[in-house]
Order: sequence, then C-alpha cells, then structure tokens
Amino acid sequence: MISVTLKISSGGPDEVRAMEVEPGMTYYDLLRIAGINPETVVILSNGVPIPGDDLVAPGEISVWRVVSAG
Amino acid sequence: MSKDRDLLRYSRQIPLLGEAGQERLSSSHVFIAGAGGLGSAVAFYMAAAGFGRITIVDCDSVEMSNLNRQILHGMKDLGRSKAISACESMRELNPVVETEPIIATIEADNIDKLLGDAELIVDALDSFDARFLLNRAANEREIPLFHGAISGFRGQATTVIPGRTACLRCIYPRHPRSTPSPALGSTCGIIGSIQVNEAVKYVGGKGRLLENRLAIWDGLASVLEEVEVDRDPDCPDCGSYRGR
Repeated sequence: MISVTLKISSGGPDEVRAMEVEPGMTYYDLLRIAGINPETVVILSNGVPIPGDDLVAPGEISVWRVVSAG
Repeated sequence: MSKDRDLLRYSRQIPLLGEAGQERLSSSHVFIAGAGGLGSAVAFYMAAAGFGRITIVDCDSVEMSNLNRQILHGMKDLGRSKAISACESMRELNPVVETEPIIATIEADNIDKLLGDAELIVDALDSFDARFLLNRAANEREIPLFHGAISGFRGQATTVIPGRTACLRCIYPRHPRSTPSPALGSTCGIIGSIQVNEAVKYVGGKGRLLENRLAIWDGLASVLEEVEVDRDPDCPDCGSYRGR
C-alpha cells in the first residue's frame, strides 16, 4: 500500500486526511475515493501542479479547490 | 483635456509611477474580458488610474440579480448591454480614457479580432473555456494576462507573463468545471483590485508581480495565501517557450 497525506484547501481551515491506496492507482482514483470531484480541484505536489492521471507516489499532496466565476 | 488637468487628476499616483510611468499607462491598450463582478472592479480602477484605451467585452445584458456586485451598472441599465453600460460608467469616471464596448462572446474564431492591438489582457470571465482562449492568445501574442476568479467569499489571482511564468494551462492542467456559484461584490472588489494592481505594476515597471504565484483569498478567514506554481515544459499552450 502507498501512504498519502491529502491537505485539502477549500475556503476554511485546511483539512488533512491520511490515506492508503493500492499501487497503480492514479491521483484521480485517489480523489474519487476521498469523495472529491477531480474536475473541481488542482492537485499540487511541493507546490507544483501535477496531472491527475499520474500514478500516486508516497508523500503529501495539496488539493486546492478552484473557483471560476467572475 | 489639458496636460495640467491630467497631472492634477493623477497627482496622487504620479509619485508612485513617475510621469513617465503615468504616460505609459495613458498610452496602454487594455482588453478586459467580462463586464460582470470582477470586470466592474477592474474597469473602474483601470479607468480611474488612467489606462489610455480600454476595450471591454461582454455578451450579456444587465439583470437585477447582477446588481449586488456589478457596480458598473445601475437600475437604469437593466436590460441594457453590459459592455455599453460599462463604457458609460468608465467615461463618467474619467472622460480622458478612450473606451470601446464590444458585445460578443469570446470564441476561438473571433478572439484575434476582438483583441485587436491590445497590449494587456485582464481575465474577468466566468468560465474556463474562454479563459483558456485568452491564455493561448496571450501566449501567442506574448502579452501579459492578469487572471482572476471568484466564488462566494473565495478568489484567486495570478499574473501570466509569456515565456517567464506558468500559464493558466500549466496551473490548471485539467479543465476546471464551471458551476453556478454564489458571488459577493466585496470578493470581486478584492480580486479585481489585485488584478489592476498587477497591471499597474507591470506597465509602471514597479514591484514584484504575481509571477509563478497564485494568490488565494479566503474571505471567511480573512486570509490571503499564495501557492507557488511552476511552468509545465510540456504545456500545450506555453511549452514552446521551453529553454527561453
């Protein structure tokens, strides 16, 4: 299993979740398991946006909810 | 309008920009995409600051539900074009500014014509479809794009300088879905003001821009954070700048 920490920023205090996923899963899979719609967020690793179809690596990622209105 | 009167109008900001900086503002052509909530703050402050030529594009008409935040428009404007109403409001504030309203939807096949010879693009849109069109156009033309977006108490802003910074495609590799969301005028004011602040700094050659940094405003907590972002060397929109 791969251990990942999700730091979710959505407009209030950050929510931190520790998760374990099977090897071979993507970040999109991870978000779906966490109940987060991948179309509404940006995934950052060390501050760098990463593609959601990358395979999950151990460590911490930040999930930031995108706003789009004007 | 006499030069003396211009100097008086801008007398409180010329110490910040210098007369040469103010002249650069006055000779700049800005394209504001959207005359809604963000567009209202952006247009008013850009006109007041003395950006010389402002083109503003919006396809919609003013509705009652806009008036909590879209301060370019008033009761008398209900049912009228937002772009035209916006230009009237800007001219009332600063008659020196040359304004051009365009009633249109920004699309792939008209964006070049709409942009004309604009030197700066301000994103005050409400969907990422059109934002990505602006992003690509900014990269192709090598002109800056000042991005902003809001939802409720939250907002984000960044400055895209082609060849130097992450572009919107680098930051949002997957097209974010646009969903109807609540909108607060003060959030528009904060994010729109940041965008104008960036544009003034860019033209005036002052300060440190929001380059490779995404400013994130959380109005419920009254916190402005920043996330560092990097260029994607394989970005379909700006990857051609690799190595520059």
